[in-house]
Amino acid sequence: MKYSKEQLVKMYEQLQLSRIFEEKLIELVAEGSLPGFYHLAIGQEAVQIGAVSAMDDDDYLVPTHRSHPAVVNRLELDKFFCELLGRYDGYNQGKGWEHVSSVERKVLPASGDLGVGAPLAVGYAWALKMDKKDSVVVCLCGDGASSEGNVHEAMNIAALFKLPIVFLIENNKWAISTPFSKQTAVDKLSKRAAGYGMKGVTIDGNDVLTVRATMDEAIAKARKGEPSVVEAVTYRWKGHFEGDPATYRNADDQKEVEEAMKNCPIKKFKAMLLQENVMTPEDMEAVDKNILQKIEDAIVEARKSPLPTEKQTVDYDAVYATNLGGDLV
Amino acid sequence: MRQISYAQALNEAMAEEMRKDKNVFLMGEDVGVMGGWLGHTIGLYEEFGAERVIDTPIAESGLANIANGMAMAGKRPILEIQFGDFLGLAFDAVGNQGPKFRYMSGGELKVPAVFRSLQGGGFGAAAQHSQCVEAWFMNLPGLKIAVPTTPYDVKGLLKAAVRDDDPVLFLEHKALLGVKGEVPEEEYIVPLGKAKVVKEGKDVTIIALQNLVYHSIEAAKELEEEGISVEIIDPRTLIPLDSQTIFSSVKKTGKVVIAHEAPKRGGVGGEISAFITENCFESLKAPIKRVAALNIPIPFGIPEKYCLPNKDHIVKAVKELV
Ligand SMILES: Cc1ncc(C[n+]2csc(CCOP(=O)(O)OP(=O)(O)O)c2C)c(N)n1
Repeated sequence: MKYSKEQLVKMYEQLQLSRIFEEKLIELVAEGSLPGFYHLAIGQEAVQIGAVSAMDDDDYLVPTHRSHPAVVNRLELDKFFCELLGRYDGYNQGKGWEHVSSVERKVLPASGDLGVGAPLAVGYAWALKMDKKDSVVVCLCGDGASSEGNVHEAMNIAALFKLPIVFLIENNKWAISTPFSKQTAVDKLSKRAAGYGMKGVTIDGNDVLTVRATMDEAIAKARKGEPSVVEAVTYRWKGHFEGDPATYRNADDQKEVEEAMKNCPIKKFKAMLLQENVMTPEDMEAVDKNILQKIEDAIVEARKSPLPTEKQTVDYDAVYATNLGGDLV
Repeated sequence: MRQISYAQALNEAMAEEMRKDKNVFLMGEDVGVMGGWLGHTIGLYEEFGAERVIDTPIAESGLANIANGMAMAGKRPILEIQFGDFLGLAFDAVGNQGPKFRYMSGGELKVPAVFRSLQGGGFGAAAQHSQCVEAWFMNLPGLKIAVPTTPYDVKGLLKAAVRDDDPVLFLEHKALLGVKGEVPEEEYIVPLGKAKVVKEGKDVTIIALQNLVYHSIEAAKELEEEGISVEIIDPRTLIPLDSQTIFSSVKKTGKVVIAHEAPKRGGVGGEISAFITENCFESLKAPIKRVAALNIPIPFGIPEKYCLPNKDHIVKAVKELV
């Protein structure tokens, strides 16, 4: 085994934090505590955990709307829940919500506009290179968003200027109602990398260790100025957002969903850990219990934090960094 | 005082800011080795090198978002978009991304990027290389917009824009690149949000942007011969807008003409007019007049003059008021 017991246990914790966190979100949505839409990555966790576990603390993450696994593992739970519940003590005073960002934790905001993350990430990577920093940017992107012109422009420039970035395309086979087959004529999105003069690979996104090993290598190369594209293939189990009944999926699609659920990345990883005697069922249970407790405590704490007032909301100092007064309105 | 051109003033502003702050740099299509498609960045590449005067691929949307990302990372990029018209391709990045991240991050992030572009007619370059585009961007919280008219202002405002911590859309007028004016050797700044009273007068206030300021000065001479005294105000920036300077002039004259080169419909003249009406209705002695382009795609070549506003339109509008 390439990874130490400690590293493997850590990955287990990260996977379970992702899953248990999102299961809690489902409860909160059901009870009406969360405004807005929640895009769940349940069943896709191995992609993002393979990536975040390969990143250093000094590396940067550019998430998408479906990035709870990566984000929840980079941020502090309490402040993240404050943010999701729209509280003033959240990372962004409750103004960021699912677009949460943190300078300290090196998480950049997920734009509400698909594909924009790629050039933002490239800009960040370029600045890091200018400052001769050793950090790398990991830019997440969906299969659907990869059709955006911004992604093309960003990849071309990243390769041309040899920027420290890895484009990780999480191909979950769906973009809302549009299946992968209706998005592009190419069979593997990683093939596009060749068009920019970058390396591209397509891997099994449901095997956390495969993702981890691929990202280890891609990040190491990016640090040396060799950007690349990693396409991790997985499957979107649920509707586009929590509450979407996904009526656009036909009977064949439903079969695919069932197959995907049998191929649960966490179940697979658990079986391996048990078989290799890395963890016992009791160890796992203890980890899971601890995570659930932390999540519940974080929610209780978050609810104590105030919602932003009208004054904190209608605040031109929050809109403009250099508030020149006068008529900015 | 020495006289230099608008293009030279623009060039000096960038050079001075790059000398002063190593986080400032220029990027864009053909800004480096060539020295800009109209020669306005000549010498910068030689002084600062390829890493700070960056020739880029042709990718307006990607580049503008890259500038946003760089700015969030602590840089102060100046991105040139060759023609104002191409800002449509970068619209989302300039208007909907950069200006939103400070607020959405609860004040943690800032985006000190400058998006420079050359706008306007005068070259007979047809419908997609001649427009004034400031109104496209007026409806976007978080953005600032500068529309410099003179060599003095383009230099001082650009320096202020580079030092400002918010994204600034900086629209130069390409017909003005060769216009000369007094620019001191010494360092100075023109703050964003301060209008200029170009000329004092008592009968009518003309609020004009860029090229139309020059047309207004010509119109004023003609009107003065007929005994009509006009005051000309150049807002210099549209966000923030210096309403105080505008209001005090309106209170004095009670009559207003607003002149800009973009089409009248949806142009900033409507916004400024509404602003005046909301705040100085009692002072108004006549309805506000707008002088602007026709709602026609700007034709190629000489006939563009049939569609763009000029001195004669301003004279006519003023005479209708007095
Ligand atoms: C520019 C833009 N277009 C459309 C949307 C609406 N939208 C949100 S998510 C989504 C599907 C995205 O699919 P994909 O990139 O594959 O990510 P997934 O949701 O599958 O994780 C769409 C169309 C958007 N947010 N931004």
